[in-house]
Amino acid sequence: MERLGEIWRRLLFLFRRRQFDRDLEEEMRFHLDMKAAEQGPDRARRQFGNMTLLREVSREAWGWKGLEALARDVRYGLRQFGRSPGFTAAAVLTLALGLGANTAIFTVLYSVVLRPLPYPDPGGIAKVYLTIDAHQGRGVRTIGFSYPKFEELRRLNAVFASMAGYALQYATVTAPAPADRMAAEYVSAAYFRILGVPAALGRTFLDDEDATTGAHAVAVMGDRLWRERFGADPAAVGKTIRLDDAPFTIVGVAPKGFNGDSGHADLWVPLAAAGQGAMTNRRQHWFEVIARLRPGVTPAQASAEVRAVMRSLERVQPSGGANSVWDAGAAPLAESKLDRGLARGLVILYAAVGFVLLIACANLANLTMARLAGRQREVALRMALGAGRGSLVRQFLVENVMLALGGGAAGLLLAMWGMKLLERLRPVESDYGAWPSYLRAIDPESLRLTAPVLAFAAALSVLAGLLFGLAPALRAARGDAGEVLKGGALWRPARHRLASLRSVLLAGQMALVVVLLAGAGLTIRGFARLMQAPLGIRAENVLTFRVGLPWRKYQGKAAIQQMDRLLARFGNLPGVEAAAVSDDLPVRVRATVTGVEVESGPQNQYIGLHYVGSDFFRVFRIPMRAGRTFTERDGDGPPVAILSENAARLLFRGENPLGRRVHIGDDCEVVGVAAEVQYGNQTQQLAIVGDAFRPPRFGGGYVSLRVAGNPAGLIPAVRRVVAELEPEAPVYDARAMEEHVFAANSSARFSTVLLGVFAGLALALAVVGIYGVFSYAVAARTREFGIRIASGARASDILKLVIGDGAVLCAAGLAAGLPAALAAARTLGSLLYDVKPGDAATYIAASAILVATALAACLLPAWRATKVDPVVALRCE
Amino acid sequence: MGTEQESSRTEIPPGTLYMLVLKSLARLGQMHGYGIAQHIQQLSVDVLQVEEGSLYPALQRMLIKGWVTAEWGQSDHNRRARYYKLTPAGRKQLTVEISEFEKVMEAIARVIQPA
Repeated sequence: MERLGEIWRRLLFLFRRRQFDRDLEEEMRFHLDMKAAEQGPDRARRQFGNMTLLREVSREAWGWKGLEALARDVRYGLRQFGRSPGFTAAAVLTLALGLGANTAIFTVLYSVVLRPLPYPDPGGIAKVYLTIDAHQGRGVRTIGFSYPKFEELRRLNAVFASMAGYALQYATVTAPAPADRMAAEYVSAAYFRILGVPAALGRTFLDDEDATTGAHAVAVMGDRLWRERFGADPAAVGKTIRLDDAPFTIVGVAPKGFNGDSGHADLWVPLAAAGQGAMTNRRQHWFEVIARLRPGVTPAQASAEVRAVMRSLERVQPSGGANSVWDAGAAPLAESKLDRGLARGLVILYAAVGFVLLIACANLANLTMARLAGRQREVALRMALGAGRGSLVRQFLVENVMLALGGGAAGLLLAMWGMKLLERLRPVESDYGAWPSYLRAIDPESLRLTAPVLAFAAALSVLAGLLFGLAPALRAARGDAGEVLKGGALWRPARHRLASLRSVLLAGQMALVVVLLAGAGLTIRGFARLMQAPLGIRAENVLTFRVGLPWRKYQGKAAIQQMDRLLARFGNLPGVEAAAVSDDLPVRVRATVTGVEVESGPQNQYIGLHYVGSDFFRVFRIPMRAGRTFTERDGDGPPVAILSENAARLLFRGENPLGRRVHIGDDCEVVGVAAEVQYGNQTQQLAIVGDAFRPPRFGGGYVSLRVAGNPAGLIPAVRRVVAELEPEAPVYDARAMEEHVFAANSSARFSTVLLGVFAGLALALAVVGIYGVFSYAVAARTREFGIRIASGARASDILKLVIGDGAVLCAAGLAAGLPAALAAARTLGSLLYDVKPGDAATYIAASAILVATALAACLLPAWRATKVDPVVALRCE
Repeated sequence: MGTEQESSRTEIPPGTLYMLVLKSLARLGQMHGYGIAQHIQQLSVDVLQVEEGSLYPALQRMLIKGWVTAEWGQSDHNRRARYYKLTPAGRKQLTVEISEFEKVMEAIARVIQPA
C-alpha cells in the first residue's frame, strides 16, 4: 500500500512539475530572507550555497531517474530506426514471423495441455475407468462402467468420498416446440457436487433422484437451452420439457458456460432416465465415472484400490468375452483428459517453432552486427565523449528490445490472423473423421487469445530482443574508440571468409527451406489434383439434412411411408427439382464394404454398398452408362441394384451385367450401370447402389434436395414442412452438399496450407539470414574491397566475389536439403494425392526458388561492396 | 530508499535527519523549513547545524514517502510560507526511527564504555 501511494505521488508530480518548481523557489527565497534578516545577506547566501544545485537535488528526489534515461534511449532508438527503415522493417518482420508462430502454437499448447480445468478443486477429482484387453491386436482399450459394477465399486471402495457416472447422448426435445436434437448428459445425483458446479437457478439433483427409472423425471437445463427455449425466464424452473417422448420437470439451470464434463451437454437428466435395462445390465458399459477423493488419498492409492476391488469382483462374476482380460484404474481428471500423444506432438511442434525463433534471432544478430559496422564512428564518438560502456550496452539493448516488442506486436497480429485461418479451415465437429487428433483438439475455445498467452508473447519478445541484442551490444561496448578516430576499425578486423559457424547455420537454413519448399510443393500439387478429381456427383445446389422420426411412432413400414410423404412435400417446395433419401452421402464417408456374389459365376468381390432412394441419381446428377435408374415402383417390387462402372467391370468381366443377378443379402437384379461415384477419400470406389431402402438403416439416413437457388435458403421451408407433418421430428445437420465436399477435403487442405505457411516462413527467415550475413561480411571487408578497387578490380569482379560466396552456400544447402526433402516426402505418403514423392518438377522448382531468392538476398550487399570508395576506405592509412 | 549522501557533509549524524525533522514537527504541530532548521538548532543548543542543502531534499523525500504533507500558509512575518505537517504514517515512522536510533546509541555506548 505504501509503495502504491508513493508511486501515485510521484506520478502526480510528473504533471505538476511547474507548480513544484515555483513552490520550491518561493520556499527557498523565504528561507534565505529569514536567514538574511538574522545573519546578514552575505553570510546567508554563502551558507545557503548553490541554489540551482539544491533545486536539482530536491527535484531528483521526485524524479524517475532510470525511467528518464530509458526514455532518452527510446527516443534515440526511434531516431535510429527512422534513419534505416529497411533494417527496421526486416527486423520487425523477421521477429513477427518467429514470434507469431510461437504465439500461435503456444496458444494451442496452453489450451490443450496447460489450461486448468474450470472446476473449483480439480485436483481432488479422479476419473475411474475399466480396461479390456480382448487380445485382438488392438491393445488395451479403456471403457466405461455398467451400472451394477458402478454400484458395487461405490459400495466396496474406501478411497472415494463420492462417485458419479455420466453419459453424453443425443435426445430429441419435442416440447417446448420446435422439435430439435439435443446433447444431454445422463448423470448421477452427485455429479454436480463432485465437479463443484452449483445451479445458477433452482437446484441440481437430489441424492435419491438418480437410481430408479421412472421415479424422478427431473432435468437440469444448460444456460443456452434456458435462453433459447425459455427466454431466460426464471419461472422456467418447475416447467416441463419433453425428451424422447417423456416429460421431465425442470428443477434448475446450470451456470453459463458449463456444458458438463463432456463439454457438449445442454441438458442433464438422472442416469435412470436411460431406461431400466441400462440400470440392470451388467454387461452394458455405457457411462463414464468420476469421483471425489477422500482427503489424504492420493490418485495412486485410489487407482490401486479400484483395481483391487474390480479384480475381485471380476473373479466372482466374470464379464465374459473369450480371452478378454478385464482390469480397472483411476487417474486425476485433468490427466485423463490429456491425450499424451497429442501433448507430445504439440511439444515437438512447439520445439520446432522455438527453433524457428532461434534462427530468427541468429539472423537478426547478424543483421545487427552488420548495422553496427556501419555505426562504428557514432559509437566511437559517443565513447570518446564519455559514454560509459554500461550505457552503450543499455542503449543497444533498448533498441533491440524495442524492435522485439514491435515484432512481438506484429507477431500477435499474425498469430490472430493465423488462428482465424485455422478456424476457417476447421470442419464442424461431426466431420472430423480423417483428422489427426492434434487437429481435432483445436476448438474455437483453444484459439482465443487469453491473458496467459499475451503475457507469454510479451515475455518472449523481450527475451528474443535480449537474445539477439546481447552479443552485438557487448561487442559494441568492447570497441576501442581511439582506433576509429585514428581511422582504423572499432573492432578487430573480421576474418576474410564468412565465419564458419554462421556459414553452417545459413547452409542448414537453406537445406531446411528446400525440405519445406519441396514438401509444400508436393502437397500443393497433390491437393490441386485432388480438387480436380471427379467426385462423380454435382454438389452445387444440393441441400442435405436429416429428419429424426420418433421411433416409437414410426417403425418398419410406417417410417418408409412417412418418409415418402415428407419427400413428396419436399418435392413440391418452390425451387426443388428432385428429392431423395440415402443411407449416407457421397464424398462424405467411406462406403461399407460388403462381399458380393454373382448369381451364376464364381465371382465374390468386396464392394462398397449404399442404399438410396429412387431419385438419388437425379439429385446428384449421376449419369447412367447403361440401363435405367430406379423408379418408385422398385421400392415395393423385387430387389434391384445399380452397379458403378468399376463394380460392373470387376464382377462381370466385360459381360453385359443388365438383367443378371448379384447376391447382396437378397438376390438383386442389376438394372443399370452408373458412372463412378466417390465415397470418402476412396478414389476408385467400387460402389453398388441398391434401391432396397431398409428401415433399420433409416435412422442415420439423409435427405438430399436439388434446388434452383441457394440451398441454405430452403432450410426454413424444410423445417416448416416437417413441423406440419410431424411436429415431434427434428430437422438437423442441415447443410449444403458443397460443405460436405469442403469438409471431406479439409484435412488435406489444412496440411497443404500449414506446410505452405511453414515453407513461406522458412524462406522469409532464410532471406533475412542471407541478407544479414552478407551485409555483415561486406561491411567487415570494406577495407579489403577498397584495396581491391584501388588496385584495379572492376565492379563485376567484386560482385562475382560476393555472389560466389552466396553460390557456395546455396550449393551446400541444396546438397544437404534435396536428399532430406526426398526422405521427408516419403513420410508425407497419403497427403500426396496422385503425386509421386520423387516428382522431379517439384524439386527443380523448389531449388530454383531457393537459389533465386538467396542470390537476390546477397545482391544488395554485393552491390554495396562495388560502391566502396577506395579513398574513403583507405584514407587514414 | 538508499543512503543519505548529503548527510556526510552535514554535522548532523548520518541517518538522523529524518528523525530530527519528524520529531520537530511532532512538537511544533506544523512549521516551515526555516522554522524546522531553527528549532533543531535551538533545542540542540547550536550543536546541530541543519544545512539547507540537506533539509530541502530530505523534506521532498518525506513528502514522497507520505510522512509529511505541505501547505502554504501565513508566517509570523506576514509572508507566505510552506508549512509541513506530520501524517499518521510520519508519526509511525518517527517511533521507528527513534527506536532504531536508541538501539544504535546503546550499542555504541556499550562499545566505548570504559572497561
